[in-house]
Amino acid sequence: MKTLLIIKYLEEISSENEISSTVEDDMQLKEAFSQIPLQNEKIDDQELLELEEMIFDNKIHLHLSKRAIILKRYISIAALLAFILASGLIIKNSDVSYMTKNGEQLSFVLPDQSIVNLNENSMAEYNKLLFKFNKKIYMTGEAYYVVAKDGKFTVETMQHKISVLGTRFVVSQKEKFDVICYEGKVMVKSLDNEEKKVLTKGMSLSSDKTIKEQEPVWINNNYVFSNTPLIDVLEALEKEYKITIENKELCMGAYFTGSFPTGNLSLALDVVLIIYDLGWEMVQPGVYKVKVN
Amino acid sequence: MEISWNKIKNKDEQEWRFLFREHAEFLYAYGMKFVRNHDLVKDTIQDLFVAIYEKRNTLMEPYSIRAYLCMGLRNRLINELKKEMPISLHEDDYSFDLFIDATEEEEYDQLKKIETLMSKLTNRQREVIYLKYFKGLSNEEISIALGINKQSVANLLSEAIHQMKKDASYILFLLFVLRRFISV
Repeated sequence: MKTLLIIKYLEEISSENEISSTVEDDMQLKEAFSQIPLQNEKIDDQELLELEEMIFDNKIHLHLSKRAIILKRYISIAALLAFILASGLIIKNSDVSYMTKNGEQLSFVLPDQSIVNLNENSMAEYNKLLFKFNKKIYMTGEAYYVVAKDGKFTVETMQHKISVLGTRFVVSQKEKFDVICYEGKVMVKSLDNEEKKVLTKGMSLSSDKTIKEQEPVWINNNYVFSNTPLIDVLEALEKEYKITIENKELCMGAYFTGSFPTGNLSLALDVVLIIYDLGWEMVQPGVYKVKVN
Repeated sequence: MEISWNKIKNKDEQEWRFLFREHAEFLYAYGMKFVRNHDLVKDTIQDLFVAIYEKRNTLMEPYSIRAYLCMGLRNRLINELKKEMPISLHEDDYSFDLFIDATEEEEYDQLKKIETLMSKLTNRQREVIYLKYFKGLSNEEISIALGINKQSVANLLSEAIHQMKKDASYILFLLFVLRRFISV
């Protein structure tokens, strides 16, 4: 049987000796004690790994992620601001406006199929995106509205707000503000809410006279198209201007929404063709030809 | 490899894991001598690392990381024990036990004797013996861990060995006789 070093050591030292003061004693004792197996000296590898994961994945990482959370918060605020800005831009970019100059007229179709006829020197503006939720048009000048029969529809001018449900009416601010209702019912309100009047068929805001006409006198020969095959539009143009257009088959498959002006042939051709990347040229007076740009 | 305190401060994960792997087993073994409760010791080690992590910016680089960790674990465990047992039953406010793991050892009898000898020491003496001779800490490191001065460490070690010698004399005499008897 072999004797443990520690026992030998304890045998050999004298009680009087000053011990563990020398390096030699230290070494001897360390060697001697190292032979003694103690309980609970080793931790199971699996437990050690679990402890490590517990510290690094939960506690310390949790703390790390507190900063990350703050950072994330800033990022999400920035993202939100960017989103608001972007949606603002998108909404702004879907503003659609129409303008007419001296002697021009223009009609266009709104997303709800209501038709707007702009008289000369007028402007109308709406937002394609927001219109779906809130049918609202800003305008100046004079415009005739044929409103589709669904949902509330609002026209705003500088001073007035006209609310309608399926009707035909004209809003004019040429010399003075006027609204004439040709069909249905219209409510006119000043923006400061002081003036408020409901108009029914044949009534006008400015006078008590009953209006006999079916539509404003300035509306004539106006061509309004909504998703119409471009070929049909060109045929209408041929009739209006009494011309012949060749190469119409180039327009196969294209659809047109909007209107072309009367009294200005080259502008009318431009308006109709330009958005399809098509052009035109005069073959001889009265005969025109569609061509690819 | 030296642990870089700068990297520890800078939250270098590699360095933190290295710090943990370097000392976890030692801390576990040390902690288990105070209290034989796996979970408490592991939780305390976890608390210790988290506390160092949270205080890393205000911490000065310790003279010895190992001694610093010892001190942290020791204080935490003793506080835990005090909570459980407000009135101490031990002379040193804590217990520190060294049990022999020797069920199949050839020298079982001798080891059991050593266990008895060590059990006759005070907790503090056992602790310095453990840190010094089993774990190889320097007197200075032990003085940091226990919060006592270096001379006290030297005294405790010297007293402990003499105590063991004294207690051993009788047992060793018997062993000596036994050994002679067997070898004859």
